[in-house]
Parts: sequence; structure tokens; C-alpha cells
Amino acid sequence: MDFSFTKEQARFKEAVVKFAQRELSNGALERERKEEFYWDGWKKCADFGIQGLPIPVKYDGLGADILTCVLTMQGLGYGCRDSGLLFAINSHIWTCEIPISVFGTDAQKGKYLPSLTKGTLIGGHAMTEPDSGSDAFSLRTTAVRKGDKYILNGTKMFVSNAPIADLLLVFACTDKSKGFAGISVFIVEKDFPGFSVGRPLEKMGLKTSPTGEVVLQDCEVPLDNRLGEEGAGAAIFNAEMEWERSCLFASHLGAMESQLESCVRYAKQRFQFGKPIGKFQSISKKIADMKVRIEIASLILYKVAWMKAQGKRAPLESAIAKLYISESYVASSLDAIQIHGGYGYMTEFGIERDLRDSIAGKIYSGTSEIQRNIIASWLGL
Amino acid sequence: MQAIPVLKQFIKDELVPNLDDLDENQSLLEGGILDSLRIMKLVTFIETKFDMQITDEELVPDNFETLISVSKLISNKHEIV
Repeated sequence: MDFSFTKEQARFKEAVVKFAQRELSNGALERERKEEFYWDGWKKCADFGIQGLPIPVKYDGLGADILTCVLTMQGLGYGCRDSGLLFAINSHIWTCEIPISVFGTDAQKGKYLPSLTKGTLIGGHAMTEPDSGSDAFSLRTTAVRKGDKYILNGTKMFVSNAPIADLLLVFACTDKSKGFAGISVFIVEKDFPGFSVGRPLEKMGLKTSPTGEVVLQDCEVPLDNRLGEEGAGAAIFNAEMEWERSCLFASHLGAMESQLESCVRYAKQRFQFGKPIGKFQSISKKIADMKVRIEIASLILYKVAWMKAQGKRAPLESAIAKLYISESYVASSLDAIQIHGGYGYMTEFGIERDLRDSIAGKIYSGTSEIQRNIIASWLGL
Repeated sequence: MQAIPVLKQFIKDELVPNLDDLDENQSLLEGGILDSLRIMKLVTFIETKFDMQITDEELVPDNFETLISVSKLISNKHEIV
């Protein structure tokens, strides 16, 4: 196991951090108040190459290895204060681009990937439904083949990027008798007949990342837009979740590093009872715990990246990484507020925002409870 | 190595301990013997036991419908190697 970074990887991460600090953070608090998506930031990221990070050069991507992807997301999480923008980018890459890149036909890759990598098309996926969340494969949306088309009917809920997306990968049932193996995936463009998006949903955090409901009413999807074979839905979903649980949560790790630096700085500058509050063990021990979480999270995350780089599967390890990082981010966000006291609780200082953003991480990409189920299952329970 | 007895034993020992019997033509999917978690455990087992790599694109129902189809996937991949 070798987690050391090459000079190129380290340099690229450094460049990402500088780019994020310089270009992506200004106005983040104001955008959050207005719940505005940062269109300029999206374009700047695309120009930098972020949206095409893991996509082959042939399709205008950077063709980066997974460890570079992880380091890039970590650097963005560290340098960018607009976590909604990062969430939108991560959804776009791991739940739309990667599945098309891995499972798509040459025609599908040629048609969609270059525009997705350039950021001129925005993507996402639509899996969750009003009545199926953690029990994802019990979805009710149907796809019935009629000639050279599929007719999709159903409703999708909590769809990341839906209000701004040009295309979504929609999961639908093509053969109910096969359970999870009867789920198929379709590349659905926003202009296809019968496709509509409801109003953006208001959220507790990640407010600059638009989320919405999608309605498919006799939605006509050309046969050529089925991604993979009929019944490949579970394989596609598992593959994209493994990527997302590895790379998306790297941005949380970066945010935790930035959070730690803020807390150390504040604990040195803030005086109470005649000395810096960092000299009180009740504060310094919280900060020590934050550091420990970061170190453990890094090791788990880099292990997953290393395994995937070796061509190994990492369903157990990515579940552990996702669970640990998401719960650590919440714990460290609570600590950061407590350390900053009243200032931490006020929205204008941006400390409490991390907590609101972090809680979503325990829910999306499989809840903490589902990650524990996966881990227990691998232990034979 | 005969794949079917090895696969059958793994399924009975590790995936569905209370399974009475498992016919090689029995559907692993329609009967719920494989679910989205168990199939990943089965794939990891196959990759280790038979020293091969199964791609994400090969994780389709046709390859996991019955013990015979899983066995065919394994033997086809060995031939390719």
C-alpha cells in the first residue's frame, strides 16, 4: 500500500486550492442567503477542467487517476466556501458522467461526454422516489418498451441538480419479477416529451445546490438512450455510489481541514480569563479530536482510492469511508461552533453553515444506517 | 475447478444460510437469493477464488440469473485469459 502522492498530484492539488480560494469563495454567504446557484463558478470550474477530471482525454476530459480526483475534491473542499457548488459538481461527475463513461456506448459517450466535461451540459441522476429512499431498488417508476422507444412513468424526489440539469440518468423498472435486477437506466434529456421538473426544494443546507422533483408522464425515451443493458441499473448504481462515496466525501475532508485551521487560529486569538481559549483543555481537546478525525478520514479515503487504482472493488471500504467522514464532519462542525461560541452560532461568520451542510452527508449517497447495514452484511450479519 | 459446487457452497454458507437446496437452474434473482448487497459479496468471492476480475459492465442479470449462468461467466473469462 503506497499512499504517497506524485509531484504532479501534489502540484495539481495546490493549484486547485489556489484556484478555489481565488475564484470560488467570494460572495458564497450572500448566494447562500439567496439560495442562488453560482453559474460563473460552474463555468470557471469547467474551464479549469474540474468537470472533466476523470473523463478520458478522447472526450475532452483530463483523464485523471482516482487519487488525483480525490486530491482535487479535497483541495476544492478546503479552498471553496460554496459547498453547494461543489455538491452540484460532484453529482454531475459521479452520478452522470462516470456512468456514461463506463457503461455508455461509443455513440452515447460521443454525444454527451464532451459537453458534460466542458460544463455546457449539466447532469445528475434520478433514483430516489417519494416512497423509496434507503430501499432504493423498490422504486416504482416504470419503463415499458414500445417499438424504438421506452415510455417512462413515475415521480423522482430529491433529485440533485434537477432544476438546472440538461439531462438526468433516470432509474426505472423494466422487469418487476427480477427485483433489483429488473432496474434499467435511461439518459433523459430535459426536452424529451413527458419530462418535467417541479419547483426547487428548500433545504436546511447546501442551499446553493438546486434540488427538485422530477415527473415522468408518458415520457418518451429513444431506445438508443438506454444506458447499459436492460437490468443493468443495480450495477450502474453500485458503481456510481462507489465513486461518489470515495470522491465526493474528499471535499468534506478538505472542508474539515479548513475548519480545523479556523478553530486553531481562533483559539489562539480569542482571550478569556486572561489567556487564549486554546490554553483551556476543554477547547484544546476538541481541536485535538478534530485533528484525529481528519487523519483517520484521510487514511480511509486514500485506501479506497488506492484499491480502486489497483482495479479492486471497494464496496465495504467505501461504505466505511463514507460513514466515517460524513459523521466526522458533523461532529467537527458541532465542535467548531462550540469553540467559536456566539460567533459560531451567527450566520455571518459562516461557521454554523458547515453544520447545516454536513448533516446532508449522513443522508445522501446512502444514509449512515445503510452504510452500517452494508458493513454488517460484509461481516456475515 | 468445478465452479457450481463452489458457488453453491458459498451461497449457502455466506449469503443465505437457511437455504434448503439450490438447483443449478433455479433463478437467483426472482427468488431473491441475490440482492444488491449479496451480488457484490458473490462477485468479490468469485474474483478472489477464481483469480479474475469481473467488470462493472458484466454485472448484468444474464450473467447472474442461475448458477449455470454464473459458472458460464467464470469459464468464459478463464478462456479469454
